Amino acid sequence: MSAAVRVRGMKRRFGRQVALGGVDVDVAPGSFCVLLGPSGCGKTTLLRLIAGLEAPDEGRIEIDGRCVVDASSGRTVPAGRRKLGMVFQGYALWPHKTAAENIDWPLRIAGLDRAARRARLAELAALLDLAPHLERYPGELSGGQQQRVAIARCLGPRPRLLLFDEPLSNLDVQLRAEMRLELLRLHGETGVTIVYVTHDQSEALALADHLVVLRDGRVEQAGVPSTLLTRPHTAFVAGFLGVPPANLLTAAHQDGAWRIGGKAFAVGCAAWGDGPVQVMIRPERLRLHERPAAGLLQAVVVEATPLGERTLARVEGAFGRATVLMPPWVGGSHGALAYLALPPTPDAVFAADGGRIT
Amino acid sequence: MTPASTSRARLGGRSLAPAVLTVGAFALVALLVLAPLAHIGLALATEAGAAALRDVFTGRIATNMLWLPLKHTLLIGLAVTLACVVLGGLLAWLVTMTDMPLRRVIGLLAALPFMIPTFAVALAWTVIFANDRLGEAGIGVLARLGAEPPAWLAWGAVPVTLVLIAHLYAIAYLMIAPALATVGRDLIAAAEITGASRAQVLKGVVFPLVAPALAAAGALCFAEAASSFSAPAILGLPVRFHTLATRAYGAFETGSPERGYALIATMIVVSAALLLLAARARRRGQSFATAAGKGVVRARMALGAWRWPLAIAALALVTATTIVPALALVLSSLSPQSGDVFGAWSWHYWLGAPDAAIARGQPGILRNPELHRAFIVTLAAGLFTGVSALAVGLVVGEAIARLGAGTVATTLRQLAFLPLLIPGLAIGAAFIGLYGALLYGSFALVVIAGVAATLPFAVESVAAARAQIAAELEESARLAGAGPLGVLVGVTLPLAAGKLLAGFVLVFVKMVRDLDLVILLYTPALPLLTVVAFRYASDGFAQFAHAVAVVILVLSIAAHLAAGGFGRAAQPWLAER
Ligand SMILES: Nc1ncnc2c1ncn2[C@@H]1O[C@H](COP(=O)(O)OP(=O)(O)O)[C@@H](O)[C@H]1O
Ligand SMILES: [Mg+2]
Repeated sequence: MSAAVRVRGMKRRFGRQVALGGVDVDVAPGSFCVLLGPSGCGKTTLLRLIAGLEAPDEGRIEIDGRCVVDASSGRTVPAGRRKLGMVFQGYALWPHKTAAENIDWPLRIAGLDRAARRARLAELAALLDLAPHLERYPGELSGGQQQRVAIARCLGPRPRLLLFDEPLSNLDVQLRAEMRLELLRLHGETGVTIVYVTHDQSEALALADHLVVLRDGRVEQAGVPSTLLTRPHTAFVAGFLGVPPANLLTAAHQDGAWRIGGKAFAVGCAAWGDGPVQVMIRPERLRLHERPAAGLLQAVVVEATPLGERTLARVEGAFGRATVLMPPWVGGSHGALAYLALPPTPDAVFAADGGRIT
Repeated sequence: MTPASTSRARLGGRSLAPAVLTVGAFALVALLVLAPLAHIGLALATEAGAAALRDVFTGRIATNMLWLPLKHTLLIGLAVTLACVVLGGLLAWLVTMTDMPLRRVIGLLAALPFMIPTFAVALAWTVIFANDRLGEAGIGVLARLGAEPPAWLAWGAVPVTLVLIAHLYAIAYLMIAPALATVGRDLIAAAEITGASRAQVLKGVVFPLVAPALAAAGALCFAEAASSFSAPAILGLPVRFHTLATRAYGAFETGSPERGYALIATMIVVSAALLLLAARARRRGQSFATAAGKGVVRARMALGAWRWPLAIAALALVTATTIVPALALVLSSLSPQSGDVFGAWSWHYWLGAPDAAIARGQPGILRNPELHRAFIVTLAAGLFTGVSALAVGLVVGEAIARLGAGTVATTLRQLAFLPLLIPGLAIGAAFIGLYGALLYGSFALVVIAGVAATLPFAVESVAAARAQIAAELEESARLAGAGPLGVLVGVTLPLAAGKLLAGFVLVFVKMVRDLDLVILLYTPALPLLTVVAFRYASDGFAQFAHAVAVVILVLSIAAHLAAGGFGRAAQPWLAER
């Protein structure tokens, strides 16, 4: 089966600023694909390229097996013929139209007759719980309501592909959690393929069945979220993903042993090259002790958050910073001395340039 | 900035009780706006007034006095409005939304005609197009080159209309461009994604969003065109082409003010009807502006093969309405005779000693003591009116803002904007009637009439200044320990200063370049540059008039430059890529 979206060798520059430096992405039909990356990494640019709102410098894009843009042949299908919907970061509701008119206009453009439009509007209002707000102008709607109108507007003509650009970033925490559920429900009910952009990794992990991590205009890693969590390809992915994200500690080879913060670590693992490396250790594999002992690293507790069954602690020391997820901590918090125990082996090791060694 | 935070912002006067402020604001508006209107109404309610109304509307003279001029006024007003909205709107679209080359230069030039007074453009028109109607000496450049323009192009309805367009399309541009500049690119992208054609996007999304600005621009252009006195006076009177304004002027000059008032009341009613229509469109529009919000990055529309043709057409338009008239006036003032720009140039009209052979012994304007006085009086009138108008604007604007949304605030705001409807000529006439016994020929009367005429601009600039200040900014200064005075000096004034200065310059320039308002207030003891130029022109001393017009041009452009009026702050969309 052909991919719902296939992006190949996508490059886009703005003046001297490289927004995308050669990106490949595959999105399977019906999947919920999340593009994740820090602000400015090119997510919006990629989404706009898929939508046809931006032209590539190099590369091609296929939607449902049909080439919609190819920089080498100059072929491009205009945005309006790509049969997709997009929810913009600021929603981009037309401020002079009521909610109902906003939803109705694309249906009218699609050529539906009055009765069909009426029926579809009612259907969408029910799906997104909008019935009481239909006659209001966008300026009179709350953020969450505006967002649901924006989603209804682009669902109206039954697109096969929905694009979302950080749709939840303007909402408060509680609403955000609710809307996540809504989106998953929507995805389940409509079966539409979704490409969803966010910089929030917990949101990405909650929503994605396919995750693409972007950084500085390049794909760092793509795949099933659990694979990215357990087998990160780069230090960046390791340090970016997870709740809380994994620790990355610098280990140097000295006096015939790998050392973190001066203490020998992972004895017998000489195969990591000879430069300093970045060692990934998950927070739940670290422990804190109240008393010093051989092999423990001295640290200062920066923050200790009780989570019930466990405590989440952030510590600092000669090794750098680390996050520890452990059984309830009864030692001092904020400013107290503590002693960090490392596991015998790391979860992963990365070279200084971020590439994975083991 | 949210509307809530702006409405809490304060511009000085924090300690004034709202009631005092409100009463003060209403008193000022009553004195400046209602009193002259009431004066006109009362004058028409007298026996003489009733007789004048009868004469004007049904009498033997009605056709010549009212109906024909009314027809001219309406035709000119509608033609000018249509042309200005189309030209100003197209220009605004080209500059803000397309990839037209040279759009920055064109945008800057497009704001300039606003600074060139209509009477100067009208004079420039005669320099180029005049035929021998006013004598051999007065013929224009074209006639001298042997291409004598047809009569309809030299005088009357067509040149009056074109001259008014040349001045007013800039206002339309300056009102429409900001509206277009806030249509976010995502709003248009969202429409394009649905598969809508370019025409559908324009009709369904872009046009409705700028419709309020179009309506407002159209209404203002109509009011200005219909009430203009200087253009028809210079280009119409030589061929007995009259509008309501020139008829009213004639009535005042010949000592029948009631007839003048009757004509002026007609003008006001016509303009009011149109402005009310526009205000309705605008009220719906204001809620959009806040909803559209931020994020106004725009992808420019590619014009393709039309890029250069459109740029050249736009450049021709802005050049023809700025550089060409200015140049015509400068050259004419240096020429031996008006329009004889290829003759032997001399500085006589600027620097010459009195010569009985030329212009009845008038010296060049720079050595004419009367002109020196006029220069100083004009400058003083601009400065005093600017400061007073801003002071009144602060009281009224502050009161409107503090009253919030109720009927009282709406009433006050509508009263404050009423002068837009009242022709300058009418304001001048009414103030003479009102306070003439006490103040006729005094500087104070000029300033008071000026403040009344410019009140809408002053109130608007105060509103714009307030919008610069979020309540949080002042509050954080107070939390940092600043006293009320410290907040005012340290935060409020610096933030508001730019917009207030812009408002001052607007009023100053209007005062320096305006003829309609002051033509009736003029006395030989109180010379103002515009009236001096107009007198020179009517006395047949065209080049002196042109030289004075150049001085006025330089003054108003210098004032704008000094206030950074051509900078990016004035047209922020020019700075975008
Ligand atoms: N229209 C544009 N003009 C200039 N630079 C742009 C434009 N759009 C994006 N960029 C630049 O490209 C980079 C990627 O932008 P974007 O795709 O918006 O990132 P993200 O959405 O991941 O935050 C940024 O450095 C941004 O400054
Ligand atoms: Mg973005």
